[in-house]
Amino acid sequence: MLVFLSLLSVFYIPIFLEIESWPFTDWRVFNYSYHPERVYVFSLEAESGDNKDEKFLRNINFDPVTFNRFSYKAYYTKNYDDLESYIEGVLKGEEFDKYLEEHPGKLDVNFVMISVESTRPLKLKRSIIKQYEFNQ
Amino acid sequence: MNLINRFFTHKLSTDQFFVFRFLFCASVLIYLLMNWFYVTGPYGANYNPIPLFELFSIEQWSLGVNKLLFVLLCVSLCLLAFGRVPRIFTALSAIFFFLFMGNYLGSMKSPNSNYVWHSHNMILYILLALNFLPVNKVKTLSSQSKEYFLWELVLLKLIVCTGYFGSAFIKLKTSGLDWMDGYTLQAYFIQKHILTGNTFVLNFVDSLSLLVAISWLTIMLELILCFGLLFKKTEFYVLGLLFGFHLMILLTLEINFINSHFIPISTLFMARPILGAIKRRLSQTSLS
Repeated sequence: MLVFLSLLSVFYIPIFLEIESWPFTDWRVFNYSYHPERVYVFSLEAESGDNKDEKFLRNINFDPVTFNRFSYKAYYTKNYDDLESYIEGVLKGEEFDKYLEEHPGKLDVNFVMISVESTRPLKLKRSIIKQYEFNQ
Repeated sequence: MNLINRFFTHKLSTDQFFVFRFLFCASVLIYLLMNWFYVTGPYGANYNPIPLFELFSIEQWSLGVNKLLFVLLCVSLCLLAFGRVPRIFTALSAIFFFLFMGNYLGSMKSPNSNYVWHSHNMILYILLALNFLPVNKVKTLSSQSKEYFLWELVLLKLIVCTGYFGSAFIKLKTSGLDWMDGYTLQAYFIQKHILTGNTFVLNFVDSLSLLVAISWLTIMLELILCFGLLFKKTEFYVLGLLFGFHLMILLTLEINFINSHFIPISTLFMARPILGAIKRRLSQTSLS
């Protein structure tokens, strides 16, 4: 009975105490309430002539989730210098150079904020925050 | 009083425990062997030690040491699966798993938060608990032996429930009933669609009432229904519901808890029918 109750306490009490330490109560995944009006996703998208590449980040082998996580935080904490150097870092990699070679001619890379315009049907709004020009 | 007494004295066949321990170790082992990035992932990326590593001043070791740790963990799990000196190899497996996975989680952790990814908690929970269970001394299959107490099985099942209960508790404590208003899931699904191009979620974002129903079912399953795992009559229904739940998480939010979490814990419930099937097969063979 002692072992049973002790182990039960070890595993259940940290939940109520909310001790944030692996392996005990790291249960905070998708735990906060949210609303489509508050969905803002930051991304980089490319544009050359009439061609738009909304999957630009994935095409240069960069994780969009990581990009959004960093940009979101930097944008809302007004760390614009950090944000700028982060984006420049993304656009300096080998993968981006390869992308430039594959897309000769003028290429614009847009730093965009994507939000929800309507949910029925789903309509997204893209606002360009900054444009980076290449192959002028 | 009689009921409590029976709970702590009623015994089950140790075979069931042996099969569970074997399947549990095998599923963890296969999962680790199929995911080599756990070994190399923490190197070359940002590293922020998890809080427990900071507390014990554990610093990141080299890739070579990490590879050695991985081998030791695999060997230890393998020996535990076959019941070799179970007390020692349970303790070693728990320590190696904590160190190995703690090191990996450092590469996933943000420097601004103590929170780390939780999909591997349950494996460590079970390994830790096994250290204290009297039944964990069994070394071989023996149909005569009945040293597996009912409370040990119930305790393992209750530990499995912590993952679900804790998750629902934190959701409700952080967001209250707002979490089930449908808009929350709608926003998460839309965000996932924008970030990863997932089109499966678009089947749900249009229907708020369906999202409300899914949200309530999620909270009910995590908070209350998961305890149905404790009862023989309901355990497989709940296990089925949990599989569906994890499958939905995989398809919508693209988080795979099935291999890392669900399969290892389901061995606790699958041990009995698998053992039954083996025994039936053996008796048929001996008859023929």
